[in-house]
This record gives sequence, C-alpha cells and structure tokens, in this order.
Amino acid sequence: MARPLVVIPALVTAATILALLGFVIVLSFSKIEDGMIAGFAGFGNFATLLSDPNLPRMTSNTLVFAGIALAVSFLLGVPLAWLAERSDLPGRSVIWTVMLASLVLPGFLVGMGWLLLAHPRIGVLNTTLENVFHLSFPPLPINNVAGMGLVEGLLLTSLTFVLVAPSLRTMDPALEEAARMSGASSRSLLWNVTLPLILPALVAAAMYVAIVAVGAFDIPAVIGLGSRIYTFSTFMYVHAYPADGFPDYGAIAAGGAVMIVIALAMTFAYVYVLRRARSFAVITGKAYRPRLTELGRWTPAAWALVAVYALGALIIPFIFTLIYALLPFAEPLDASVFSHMSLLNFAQIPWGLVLTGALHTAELVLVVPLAVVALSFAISWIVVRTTMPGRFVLDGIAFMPHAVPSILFGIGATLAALFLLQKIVPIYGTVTLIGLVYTIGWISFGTRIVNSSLIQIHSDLLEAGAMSGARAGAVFRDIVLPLVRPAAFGAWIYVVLLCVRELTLAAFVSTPKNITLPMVAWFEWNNGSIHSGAAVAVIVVLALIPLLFLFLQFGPRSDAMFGSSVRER
Amino acid sequence: MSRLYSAIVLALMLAAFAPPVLAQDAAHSPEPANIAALVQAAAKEGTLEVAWGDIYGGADGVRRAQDEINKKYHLNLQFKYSPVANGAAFQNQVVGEIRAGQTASTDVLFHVRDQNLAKMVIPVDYRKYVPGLPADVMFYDKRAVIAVSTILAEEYSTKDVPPNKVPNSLAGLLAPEWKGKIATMPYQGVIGWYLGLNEALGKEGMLKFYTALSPSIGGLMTCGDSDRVVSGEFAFFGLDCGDQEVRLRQRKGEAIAAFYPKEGTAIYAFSPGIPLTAAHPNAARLFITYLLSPDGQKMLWDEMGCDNYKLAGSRMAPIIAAAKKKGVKFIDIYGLDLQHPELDDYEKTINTIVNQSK
Repeated sequence: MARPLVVIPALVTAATILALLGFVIVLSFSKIEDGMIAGFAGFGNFATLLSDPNLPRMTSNTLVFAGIALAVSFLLGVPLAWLAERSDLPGRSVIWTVMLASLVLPGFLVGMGWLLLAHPRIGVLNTTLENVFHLSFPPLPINNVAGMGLVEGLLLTSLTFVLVAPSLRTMDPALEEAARMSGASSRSLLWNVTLPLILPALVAAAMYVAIVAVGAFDIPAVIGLGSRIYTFSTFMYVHAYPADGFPDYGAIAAGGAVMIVIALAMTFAYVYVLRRARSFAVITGKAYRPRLTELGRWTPAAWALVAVYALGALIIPFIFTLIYALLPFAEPLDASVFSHMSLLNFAQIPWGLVLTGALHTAELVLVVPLAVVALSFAISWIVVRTTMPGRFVLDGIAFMPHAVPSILFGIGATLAALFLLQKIVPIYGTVTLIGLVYTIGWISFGTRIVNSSLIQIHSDLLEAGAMSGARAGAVFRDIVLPLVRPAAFGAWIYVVLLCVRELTLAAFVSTPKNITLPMVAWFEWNNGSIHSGAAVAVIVVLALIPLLFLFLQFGPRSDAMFGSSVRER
Repeated sequence: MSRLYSAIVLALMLAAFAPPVLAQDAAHSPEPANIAALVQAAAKEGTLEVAWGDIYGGADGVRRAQDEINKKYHLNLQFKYSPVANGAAFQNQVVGEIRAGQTASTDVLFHVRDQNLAKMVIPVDYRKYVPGLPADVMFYDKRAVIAVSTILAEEYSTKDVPPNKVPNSLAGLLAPEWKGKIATMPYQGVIGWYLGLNEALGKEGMLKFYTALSPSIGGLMTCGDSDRVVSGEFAFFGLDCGDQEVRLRQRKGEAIAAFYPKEGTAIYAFSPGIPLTAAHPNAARLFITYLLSPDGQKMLWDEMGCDNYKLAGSRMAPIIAAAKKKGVKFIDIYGLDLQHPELDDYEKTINTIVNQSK
C-alpha cells in the first residue's frame, strides 16, 4: 500500500508535468496582445504559425537534421556498442570510458569546436584543404543542415551507445550458440540472429534519440542560428526572443501543442515497441556469459573507429575551443598562433558573472539531482511496488518529459511563471524556476532507472523483513535502500553532470538574474565575445572533470543505470 | 559527512527557494530634487543591476562607472552587470516582465528605441542632475535621454576587401563577388528602417535593396561580434549599430574599417531608460546621470568608442563635421518614429527578409 509520503510527491510531480503541458495547450488557443493573454483566439495562433515563411524550411531542416543525427549516431554507436560488449577487442573497456566522457561534454562546446574546425571560411580544415589542393571552395563546410546533423550525431552517439550496449550484453547466447552449431558464419550470425534479436531495442533507441535530436538546441544554436538555418528549437527560440516586438507566445504555444501531439503518438509507439521487445525474450535472467566474437585482422579497424569517434566527439572540439580561449583575437590558425597564445581571455572574462553562474549551477547541482532521485523513487515505488489504480498512467506521465521536446517544459514553465504564478508564487527569473524545470525535464530518466532497480528486488525480501517484525521504515532503510543505492547514485551523479552542462532548457528559462554557468558561455559566445565564450566553456569542462571521474568511478557501466530505459518499459 | 551535505543542501535550498523581491514600483518612486538627494537615495538602494551586450563599454564600462561614481560621491554602490545574447530581444523580454508586474531583469533599459518602449520606462528630468544638459537630448517626454551618438556604417575587413574595391554605397554591396560574404544582424530592421525615409532610399528603394541583399547574406551576427569580420568569416557586416566598434578595434590595430553609404548615413543614438518595475530606480538615475557627465562621456569614448555629439567637449562632433565636409549625407534619425509611424512596419518587413531561412 502506498503511503502519503510517497503518493503526494508522486502526484504533485505528475500534476506539474501535466499542468505545464496543459498550459502550453491552453496558451495555444489564447489571444496574446502585447505579450499578455487577452482572450480566446480559436485556431488563430495555429494560423499565424502556418503563415510563418520560415515554417516549411524549418520543418524540413528539422527532419533532415534529426535524420542525419540519428543515422550518424547509429552508424557509430551500434558498432561501438557491439565492440564494447560482444567482441574480443583488447582494452575495450576504454570504449565505455570514451563514451561516458563524451556523454558529459557540453554540446555547445562540441559545436563551437566543430565550427572553428570546419567553418567554410575560417575553419582550419577547410582553409588547409583549399590551400593544399588549390580548391576555390570550402570542401567540408559545417554550417549547413548536414553538417549540423553530423555534429549532433557525434553528440548523440554516446546516448545510442548506452541505450544499445546493455541489450547486447544481456542477450541470451543460446540462440547464437544454436546458430553456430548449425554452421552459421559470423556474418550470417550477425545479420540473421544478433541484429533481429536486438532490433526492437534498436527501434526503441532510435525513437528515443530522434526525439532528443528534434528538440536539440546546442548545435542548431551554435552552428545554425548565425547561418539562418532554423530547426524546431531555434525557431521556437527566435519566436520566444524576437528582436522586433513582444514575444510571440501564441505561436510558440501553437508550435508546442503540435509537438506535444506528435510526441504523444511517438510515446505510444515507443511503449508498443518496448512491449514487443519483451516477446523476443532477449533477457533470460539465467547466469550466462555471451560468447565474444574474435576480431582477428579487423582489430586495427575497430580501434580506428574508436579513435575517429574520440577525435570527432571529444578531442578535436575541446582542442579547438581551447585554442580560441587562448587567442587574444581572431586570426587564421597557422603555426604563428602559438606565439600569440596567452591566458588573457581568462583574466578578462566577467568573473563576477561566472561566479554567479557557478553559484546558481552549484545550487542546482545540490538540489536537482536529489529531487530527481527522490521523486523518481516515489513514482517508481507506486508503479512497481503497489497496486494503486492508475499507476501505469502515472508511469506514462513520468515518461512524457522524455517524449516531449524538453524546451516545451522550459517555455511552459516560463509562461506559467510570468502569467499565472506571478502574484501567487513569484518564481520568474529565479533559480527555483530553473530547478523546477530541470527536475521535471529529467524525472523520466530517473524513473526509468529506479523502476528497473525496484523490479530487481524480489518481494520475498520485503516480506521476509516484515515477517521478522521490521516496520515499513526499517524495511525501507535496511533492505530497499541498500539495494537501490547503486542505481540511485548512478542516476544522481548523471543528473549532477547534466546540471553542469545543460543549455537547452536553460536557454528558455534563464534571465540575467538566474543565469547558469553554461548560459554565461552561451551569452558570451553569442554576444560577440567568441574568445571569452570559449574561455568560459573551458571553465565549464574543467568543472566537469572531477565530476566525470566520480561518474566513471561510481556511475553506470551497468544496465542498472542505462539499460533500464530500453529493457523495462 | 552526510550531515554536512544535508546542511549545505538545506542552506542552498533555502537560498534558491527564497521568494524573490517583489516588483518595485519605480514609476511611483519620487524623483529626487537634486544630485545630492539622488546620491542619498541611490546609496540607500546600494546596488545597480544591469544587463546588455557590449554597449556602454560592457563589463569594463560598468566597472569603471561603478568605481568613478563611488569615488566621486563617496559611495559604496555595487554594480552587477550581466551580458545578454541579443540585446534587442532581451529588452522585449524585459517588457514582458514589466507588463506582468515582475521586477525587471535590469535596472536600466540600455536603449529606449521607440515610443512603445518609452511607455515602459519612467520619465526623469536629467537637467536636475546634469548642469547645462541640452533639452534636445531628452525624448519621449523625458523617458529617454541620449547617452551616445553613433554613425550607422557598413563594416568591412581590410584584409578581404582591397582599398580599390571598398564600396561607397549600399548598392555596391550587391556586387556578385560579395555574395555569401556579407553578414547582417537578425534585428537589422531596428537599424535599417531609416532607409525607407524619402531622404534616403524611400520605401520602395528600401524594399528593393533588402530583397536584393538577402541572397548575398552569408550569415547573421549581433552588433559587437565584429571578430567575425576581422577573422575573415565575413567580408562585410552591416548596417551595423554604429561605427564605434570599428573605432575600438582600429585602436587595437585590427584589420577592420567602415564606410558611410552615400545613399544616406544615419546618426543614431543609444538612449537609456529606467523600467517601470526597476528594483533600483535611483541607482539607475545616478548611473545615467554619470553617463551624461564629462567623466561618463570620457568613459564612453574610451570604452565604447563614441559619445554624445550634442554635448560639450564631444569627440564625435568633429568626426561628424569632417565627414559632412567630405559630402556624407547624414540623417539624424533618433525619435523619428513619432513623425513616421510607418517605420514600425518597415522594421518588421526588413527583419522578415533578412531572417528568411536557408
């Protein structure tokens, strides 16, 4: 039986999620005048949205961008996951380290690095190729939809990896063994047994990654916005922060409402796919040890793939951002730049603001992960451990922040704080608002992890505790908590890292008064201080390094954390 | 350890979840009668919070203003500055805050650009605080006061645009060789609407120019982002928010210059105002008073590269006079929206054209 201590936070969380999305939908039918709600608009806002000349191009850009990002992330992420889990590649645990490191690298830094590397006119890659091959055009320009998709794909590769790797690890090897016994070659085994077995997991992962790509802000903002290439998130951003009038809240909400409907449809499809996945009996629960495929002469190629990924997603972006952080002014990147490097930009960045951003980020780091884990536990307990009516609806609501592009929660929260709550709970422009949005935005991640962790605790254990005379609190403290602690800690530390690197949600709820550290970097970068922005981005990475070590030490590498989202829905 | 952690979490939760300061009613805060009363009132507020891009010298300018004001008036005011990604958009966000009754995110709107924005700020008679201030630097019923004058120009990279190819007109930018190498800002309409005046291109000429320019635009950047011209990412940027950025960079020896278009060159202005819901209206009054003083004008010239050409001792006045002698046709455009309501539409039209998605 669920207790009020568990039920109330869970229901409040679910109500908040629904309220934010509901408010977006209500606003989409509201008449907005001079930035204020002024009545019912019918479908007027949708008509305004449809008449936007940038809508068709934005839509196609978003689809192409997300499609390329998905393709790149799968072309890299799935083979890398297979190498890490099912091959005999020597030292393959490095792949996990690289993946987890890139998972926490801020997206905007990767975007900055790639822009400085492959910009058509100033990117060192293009200028070098033009000079070496006497070309009259930049051969690899990054500031187009395909380039943006490529960089976003590199960013999402680590996500694809952690979604797919556990499925590969936990596959029942009996089917593969049977195929081998029947004389199947390695290639035939891969195509006819392994891939079909993990196909539902791949499809589910693809839908998940696609949703993230559609709502991604970092790369479209850093690379696309300056080149007039709008995707869904930057299109919404431009409407939320127009230069020539009041924010077009009605059109924003109309766009959001459309996305909510699409996201709900995708959620149902996602749940359907995951339920189908169970019928494939990928996980048996038996003790087993999957047979590793011998790579043989393909070992160098496998390492080359790992190296290409590490270079593209981690090393090169960071090095180029660092170079710009050390240069005093813009100049072509040739050998002479090393003589101009200094720490001047670090001395000149607005340290007061950086410290303010760092303080706000520290507040978020201390509060949000704890809130996410605690609220996730409350929701998951009801879903997994009780027979409360409507618990699966609760689970579905908790999943919505993943299905709906997170910027809609940012927009919904901002508008609610501005229009609805200002007289009751004035949280507009506060760290509280950001904390609330972050918590809501990441609650589905938390519930996926805690769900799977709670499922693994057999009810016999709890019953034994109760039979021994332990009260519910003691059972929870002495049995449940120790068992869920590893997964909860993994989730906690991952949300800590998200708090430090998050830009997408922050961009829609930040004001100068509640600015976060990544937003300082973004403001500096977008305000014309490229070198200063790069310096702040480097500081963000330096702040992440100790957390990354913690993450690597205590974090995932087990499906208790990441595999859950694929397996346990 | 866990207790310490719990204590820290609790303290930060309390700090983070503490209710914010409710909106002040700057509109009804009495205007101090003289500079002494203003200084006293500002001292009581203790803090000034401002947010803008690199205008008024950005972080350096605000820091210098704080130091000079504190030194001059024996105060200990704390000025808190935040950069914003897009100044024009940020001001609209602040308007939303004002209309919702929230405390404004900044105590000073850096630029009251038109009569609509003027309704969101309080009137202040700065002649009470600045002796000899000309009446014609105050606009919109004293809700805005010109702090600096700027000359809207077309910036170019002296590395990428040889001297013999530097255009002297907007039409010159449309040459095929510059296609894709021109940057403008997403809010170009805020600047370029003056081209619709009959003294410049007129409405049809303005529309024709921007429509022809749009395919040549290689990207969008914000004012102050001229690094991207110096680096060679773009050959041209304009019309800019004023040639002061070029002046600052030339002082540092960077390869950038600007030309004044012969079709008509605008003298623009940046005019700060105090939001109706500013948390620290008197500190804001004192800050703007400082900007209008000789010390403030010197700071602006040093840190921003321009000053108010209508004030005594201006360094901009001789520059404008010299350009006029060379035949540059200047149009003083600040405040023209009062006589030309159609300019608002021009602004939106230009923004739609230049923001056309690729």
